[in-house]
Amino acid sequence: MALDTLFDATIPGSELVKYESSIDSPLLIDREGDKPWTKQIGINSTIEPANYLISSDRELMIEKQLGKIELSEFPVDHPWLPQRALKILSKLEEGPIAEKELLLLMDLVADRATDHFQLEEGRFVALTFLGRVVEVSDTRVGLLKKIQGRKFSEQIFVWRVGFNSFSGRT
Amino acid sequence: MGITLSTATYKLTTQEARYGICLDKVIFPLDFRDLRYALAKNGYELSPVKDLPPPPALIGFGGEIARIKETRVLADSEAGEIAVTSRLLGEACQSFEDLANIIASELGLDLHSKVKYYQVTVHYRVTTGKTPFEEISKAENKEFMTKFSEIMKEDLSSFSIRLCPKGAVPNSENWFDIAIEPEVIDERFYHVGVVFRSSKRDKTEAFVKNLESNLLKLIGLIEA
Repeated sequence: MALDTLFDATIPGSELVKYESSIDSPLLIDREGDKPWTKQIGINSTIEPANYLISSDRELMIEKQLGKIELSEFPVDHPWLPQRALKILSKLEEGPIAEKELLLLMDLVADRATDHFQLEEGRFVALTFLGRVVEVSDTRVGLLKKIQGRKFSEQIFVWRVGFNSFSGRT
Repeated sequence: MGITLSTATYKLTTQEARYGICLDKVIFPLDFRDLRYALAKNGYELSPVKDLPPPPALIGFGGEIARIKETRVLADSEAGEIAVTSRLLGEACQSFEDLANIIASELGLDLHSKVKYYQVTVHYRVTTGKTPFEEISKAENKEFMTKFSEIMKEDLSSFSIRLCPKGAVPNSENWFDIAIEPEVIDERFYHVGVVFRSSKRDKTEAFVKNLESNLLKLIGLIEA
């Protein structure tokens, strides 16, 4: 069934646009008003009702599909983390957590970082709790020298690839 | 990952493996919001998207949708493609099956029921201890290469070996391309690139199952 509609829409920085239509499907018209909506919507784009506007030159331009969302690649600097790790991280943000949970978190993060970065067994690594590698060294002393005195925006821990003991949470 | 042949030790390392399908549908049958929800529910990390428009607006999308462990889910709604990439081909195949199972159970769509073609793309680095550009030239057609050299007034040799099914048209659903060439940035390695397409699932699975051992046999034959 056709709809007879009067649209009122405000384009930031432009005059009020009124448009009358008799249509069967929603109108989706490029806010720039001179072409159908074919722009790609970037990952940081905000799709708001204000974007679904009517052209001021009153051309009928119907596009049933809203452009295309181009999804960017995942960052390579930290690995995917399992839900258990994310839950503990969330708790950690709220305050102190039990040592057992912290050890579990470090274990999960270290395990994922090993796979993701294909870390060599036996090397010493300083990692953030999101799995970012801060520093790597062949020896514990070498690693500690590299991170000594530095300030990090995230908490880090030190660990030897392939081993279960963690230390040096700062 | 390493594979050893009986006569020589060849090391084959997978650089990236992609396994996916192109659906035989006019409109991509998966809603972006539903797909994201189903994947999140099953432990996948979603790529960030701000302020999705509400249903029933159809959303076109393309790129990396989600990831789990070292597997990434990719889709292009316009092309009708959905695929996964992993570090190993076997992992990619298994991850695609996991994805298909999630889509079947959560969204009620059997991905295998309306497939235009399956597609496998995989890149390997192979080391045999020999120099690939010297070995590859052994397999060239000497008669033609002499004539080519006369035309170009330079001694020429083949840079790569490319194999495809005889008589098959590249722009078709059933096709494959195997390129064996020296790694451009390090001549000690072979780069082997494979693109395979088939409308048949069983044919795709059989190709994948034997691919790595067949590639090593091909290189073994070149170097024999």
